Amino acid sequence: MTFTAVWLWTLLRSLVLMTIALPGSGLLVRWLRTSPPRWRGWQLALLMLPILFPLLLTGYAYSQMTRLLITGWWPRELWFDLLLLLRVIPIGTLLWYYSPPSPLSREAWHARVLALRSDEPVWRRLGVLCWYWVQGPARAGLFAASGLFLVLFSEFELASLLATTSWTVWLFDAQAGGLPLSESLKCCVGPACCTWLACGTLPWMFATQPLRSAGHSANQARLSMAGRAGCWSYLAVTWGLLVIYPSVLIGREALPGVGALFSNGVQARGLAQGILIAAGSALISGVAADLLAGLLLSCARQRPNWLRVVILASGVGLCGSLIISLVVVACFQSSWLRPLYDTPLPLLLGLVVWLLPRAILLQGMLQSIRSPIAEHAARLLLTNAGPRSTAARNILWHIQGRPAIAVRLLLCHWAYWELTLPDVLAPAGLVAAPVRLYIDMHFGRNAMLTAKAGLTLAAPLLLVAVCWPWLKKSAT
Amino acid sequence: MRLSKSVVVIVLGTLLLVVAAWLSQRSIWTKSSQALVVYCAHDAEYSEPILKEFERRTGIPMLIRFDTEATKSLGLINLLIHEKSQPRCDVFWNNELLGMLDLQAQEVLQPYRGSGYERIPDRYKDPEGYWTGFAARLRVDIVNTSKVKADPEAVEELWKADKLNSLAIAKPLYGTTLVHYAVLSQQWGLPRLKAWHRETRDRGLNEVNGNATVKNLVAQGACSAGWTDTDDFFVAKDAGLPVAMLPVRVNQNQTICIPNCVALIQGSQHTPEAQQLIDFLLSAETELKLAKSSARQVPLGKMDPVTLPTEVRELAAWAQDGVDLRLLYAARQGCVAWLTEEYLRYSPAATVTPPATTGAPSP
Repeated sequence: MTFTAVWLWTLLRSLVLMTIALPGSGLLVRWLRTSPPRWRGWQLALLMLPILFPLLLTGYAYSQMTRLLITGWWPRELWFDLLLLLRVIPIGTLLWYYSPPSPLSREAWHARVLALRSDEPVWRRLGVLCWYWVQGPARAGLFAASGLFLVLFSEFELASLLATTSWTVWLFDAQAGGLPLSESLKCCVGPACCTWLACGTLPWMFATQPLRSAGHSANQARLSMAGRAGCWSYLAVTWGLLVIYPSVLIGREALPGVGALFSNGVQARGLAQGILIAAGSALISGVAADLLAGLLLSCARQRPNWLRVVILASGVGLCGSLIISLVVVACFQSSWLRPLYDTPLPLLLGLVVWLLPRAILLQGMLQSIRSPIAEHAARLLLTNAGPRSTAARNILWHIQGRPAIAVRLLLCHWAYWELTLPDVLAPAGLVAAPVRLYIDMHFGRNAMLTAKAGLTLAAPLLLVAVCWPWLKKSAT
Repeated sequence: MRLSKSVVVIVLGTLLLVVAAWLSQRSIWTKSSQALVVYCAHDAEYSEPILKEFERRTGIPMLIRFDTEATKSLGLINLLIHEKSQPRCDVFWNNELLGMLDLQAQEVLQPYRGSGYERIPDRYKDPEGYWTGFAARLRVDIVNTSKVKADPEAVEELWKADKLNSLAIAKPLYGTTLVHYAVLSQQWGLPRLKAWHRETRDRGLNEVNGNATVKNLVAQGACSAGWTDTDDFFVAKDAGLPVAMLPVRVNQNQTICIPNCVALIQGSQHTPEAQQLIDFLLSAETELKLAKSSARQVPLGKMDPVTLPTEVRELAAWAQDGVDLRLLYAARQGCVAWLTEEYLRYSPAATVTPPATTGAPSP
């Protein structure tokens, strides 16, 4: 297939899956909003964990279903679509759930509908309704749809491991086959325009939101029994297919794998170095992207001209990790940046650029749920000595520290598991752990792979657990 | 207040990174600047212990860049061509030979004929020493013994069947399947290969991402047989799966024996150390290690057969009938151009080769 056909197919698939996923996300949002508050944390955790399970491992598990690989194009495509759909629905849900409140309340929307003049032409009434609909009831849904499209359209690992048609895989293959950078960049114009069109509104929403907001509607009807059953069924299928099955498949040879790994000193040392490299670069780039996003959003709120900078900065990152890698390589091979080529700088820069749109999205969400009055009150309490100060610290941790740390950890998690950027941009000798895993996956050595995957997954969790008290203290 | 704090952190962080990067270039981290840079397309599980052993013995620090299997050696070959004007790699360990011919033609390599070069037979090395082969693997038919008898006639029957959906091969755009195609192109001519390629796809031949997937398909019984490499076959055999192998034989009963290759990069900053590594890789000791590894690679230099595992001795006998891969450069380039068109810019409207329906040869 030509590249145009491939990217148009990816576009069509992304639009179809987005249309299917959106009502599912909407249902889950209602489920969350109408559930008792004490359950909400668990519900959010149940939704979040399948997204955080590395897609590389999910893709590998299903690439081992050999019959699937030879059943022809359609069954493979449908299976890929199902997995992708299950994975993106929680992303849409979280974006919708945490979306900035609409500047138009439901009451205002209803009043506008009533105020329509019947003597005006239909097209004009429809135009007015559409405009207010986008500004009001549809705003959060459109926001979720943009995010869903972004994830669906830029998917790479799963498409690559299941050998399905995707513009990202085509471009990776073509680049490996010697396609010149200029040609690759030309190919990217179409996909990049699509992404920008779909997601260009996100920074604008976050940058302007706090100035005018009508708040979320509080009085939503409790979900019906069938609706709740649907939500729980969805969670069961998603956990089964995206977390439990891959974990069982990869984990079944865990013990012999760990034995084999530790008896091979070179491999064990290589993996340890790989984990350190991945964790170090993830930490630096995650924190840098988060700070940069906060800075850009603050600038955009204070000076509207900065909005263009925010959109441009996000736009570059939305081109996908392969394009970012190629552009960064080209920049660092130019004569004036050449001395920095074989250093960690290109990798860190690539990761920051790639993370930036996500960081802007998360920072925006974070700022949209912040309560400056509560924070101010807690800070006033903090000036008192004694138990009130401890209580104030706890409040600050819950409303400010914990969400901020969660955002940074999420960014670091994405950077840690990123494959293409470290593969292309890391200097010789620095092989990140996910790249090592990817090598093993293609060679199909299951026992060693099991051990490596388990350790790669566990190491950052362990690090966070060890550092958690310090993180908590520093955040308050 | 919050804004200015963020600015300070970002500026300081960036400065720190730039200074760190600059220090690394200014030889403050001496280990890094003195290190021998090796690009390695061979499987890290086998190659890394050998390279680390060299590092341990000589004290020469080494920075290794591995290829991901997904992009095969083409990823590193392109990178070497891309870096030609300012190379950072000193030694390239490739897992096949035809890519070396490409690099030689692009003037990326420089000749070196050391002690290791002398012990390798002529057919596996460049006469001027631009590259030298060692420790080879063979293309084989992997057969699921619970589904089909492991003999050439039974495999031949599978290829002659109306439907080829019990057979699998890797996508021929990269790796050793590309070498396999280049051999077929050399022997049949490109038009006949194209016709065969089209016809076998029409008959339902399964085409998958890599040789390891072919091995999985056959070993798990989803397919009866397929083309793969000996090292992939031994992964399945060692796992106790019901598989056997037969050497792929092309015209005049020749086998396809694909050596690893090593070369010194033009403009290397560490030529003496790089030459030391090349001699180490081409030594009998390294070849013996690779023969005794789970990949069972076939030594190409002179070696006492008694020291070799039984399976490798059998492979060494097959390797004697190997096609001379040095003559395949033009065939490989033709295949790459055609397959790139076929897989990456394929347009049904532009198809000119009509599918042959009968009389297509089996490989």
